[in-house]
Amino acid sequence: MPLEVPTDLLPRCPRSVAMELDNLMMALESLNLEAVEALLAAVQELGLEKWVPHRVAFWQLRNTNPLRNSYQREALQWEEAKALVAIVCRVAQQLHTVLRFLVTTYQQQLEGKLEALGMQQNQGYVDFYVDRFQELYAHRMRSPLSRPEGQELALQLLVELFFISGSGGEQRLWHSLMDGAVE
Amino acid sequence: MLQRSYITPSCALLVEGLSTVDDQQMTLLTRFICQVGGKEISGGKELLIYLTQGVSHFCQRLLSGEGAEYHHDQVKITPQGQRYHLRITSEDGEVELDLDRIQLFDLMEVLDQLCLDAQTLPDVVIPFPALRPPTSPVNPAVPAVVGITSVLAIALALWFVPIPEPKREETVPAPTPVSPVPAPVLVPKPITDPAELAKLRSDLFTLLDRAWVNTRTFTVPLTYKVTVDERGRIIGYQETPETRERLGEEAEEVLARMTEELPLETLKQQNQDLKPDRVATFTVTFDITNQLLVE
Repeated sequence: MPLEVPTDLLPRCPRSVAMELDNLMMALESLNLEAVEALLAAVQELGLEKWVPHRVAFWQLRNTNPLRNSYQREALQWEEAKALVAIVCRVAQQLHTVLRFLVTTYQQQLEGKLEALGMQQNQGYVDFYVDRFQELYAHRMRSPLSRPEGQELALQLLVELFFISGSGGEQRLWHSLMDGAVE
Repeated sequence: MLQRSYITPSCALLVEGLSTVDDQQMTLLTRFICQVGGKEISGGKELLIYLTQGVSHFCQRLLSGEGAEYHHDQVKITPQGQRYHLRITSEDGEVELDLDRIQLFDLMEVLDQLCLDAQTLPDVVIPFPALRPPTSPVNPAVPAVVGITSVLAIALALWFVPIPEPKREETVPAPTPVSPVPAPVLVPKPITDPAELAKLRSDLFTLLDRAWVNTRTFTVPLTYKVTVDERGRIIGYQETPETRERLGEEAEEVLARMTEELPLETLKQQNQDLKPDRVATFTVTFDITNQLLVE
C-alpha cells in the first residue's frame, strides 16, 4: 500500500517529521551497533537509491533534524521522508525479536515482576539501550536532555519501534508522523 | 468453506467464510475467533470491523505517546496502569481482557495481517484517519474580507500594548459600504490560569514549529507578540519594537516578506472570523539559529 501524501499542503515536511525520524534512527543505533549499516543496506534492498544515493546523502537527510549540532537549514522533501519511513520500518522488522525482548523486560519492570520471575539480569539490556541512547543524543544534539527526559524519550521510542515492526508498520509510522494534524 | 488463520506469539485469529468469486478469495465472513490474553472473542463481520477500528485507533494514539481511552460501539479500550483493559460487547455476551503492551501488539498485528491479506475480506482494511496537512490550506478567495477582519485582528493585538492617548476624531468620514461585521465592542479577557497558559504555550510552539518550513532568509532574530484564543488559534500578531530596531531601515521590506515566509499570517487568516472571549499573548521568537522560542 503506497504511503499517501496529504494534498494541498506545504511543499516540504514539517520539521517535527525530521526530528522524529532521526530520533527513531538513533534509537535503532542504540539497539544495535550495526544499525547504520543495516539502514544503508535497506536503501539498496528497497530500491530507494534515488532518494538516498550514498552515505553522505543519508547523513545530510538526518541533519534536517533542527535539534542537531550539524543542522543545515533544509527541510525534508516528502519523498525523502517516505524513503526514511520505509528504511526505518525495514530495520525495525529485522530487529523485531530484540524489540520484543526489550519491551517485554520493560513491561515486567514497570509491573514490578522482574524479581518474581527471576529475570533481573535482563534489566541490564534495557539499561544499556537507554544509556547508549542518552550518549548518542548528548553527543549529537545541541540542547541536552536531563537524565529522566532522555530515559523517557528512549523508552517511548523503544515502544514506537516495537509497534512499527509489524506488517502495517510503514502505514502506522507515516500516519503517526502526520498526527497532531489530525484532531 | 474457507478458513484462514493469523498467528503471533500471544494471539491467534481464525476467520471462516465463503468465496463468491472463483479464485479462493474469501469475500464473505461467517465467523471469526480471536484468542488473546487467555480469552476468546468471537463474532461476525460487524464486530470484527469494530475490533479492528478500536485496536488500530488505540495503537496509533499509543505511537504518538498518548494512551487516551477509546470507546466506540461495542469496543472499549482503557489504559489501566501499565496494561490495557478491553471490553468487547457482542451478541454472545461481554468479554473483558487485560493486555500488556506485547499482547496488544500481537492483537494489532493479527488484525493488520488480516487487513493486508488481499485474499481474505478485501473490503476490510486498516482504518486510518484521513491524512490532513499540518496546516490547513489557505482559502485563496478571501481578500475581500481581509481588510475588515485585519482591523479586528490588529485591534486585538494592540489591546495588549500600552494604550496611546486617544485622539478625538473631528469628522467621521464613512464612505465605505456597511460593514458586514458589527463593530467589535466585546473586549476579550486575558487568560490567567497558569496551567492553561502552559498548555497554550506548548500548543502554539507545536503549531508554529510544524508550520515553519520555509528556508530562513532573515538575518536577525524576529520577535512577535502573538495572541491566541482559548483553543490556541492565532487571532493576531505584531512584531515587537525591538525587532523593528534590529531590522533598521530594512524593517518594512523584511516584515512584508515575512508574511509569506513565516506561518503567522497564514495561520491568522484561517481564524479571521473568530470572536474570542478569552485570549492569551505570547512572545514568539524566530531565531537565526532556526530555533523557535515561545514564552
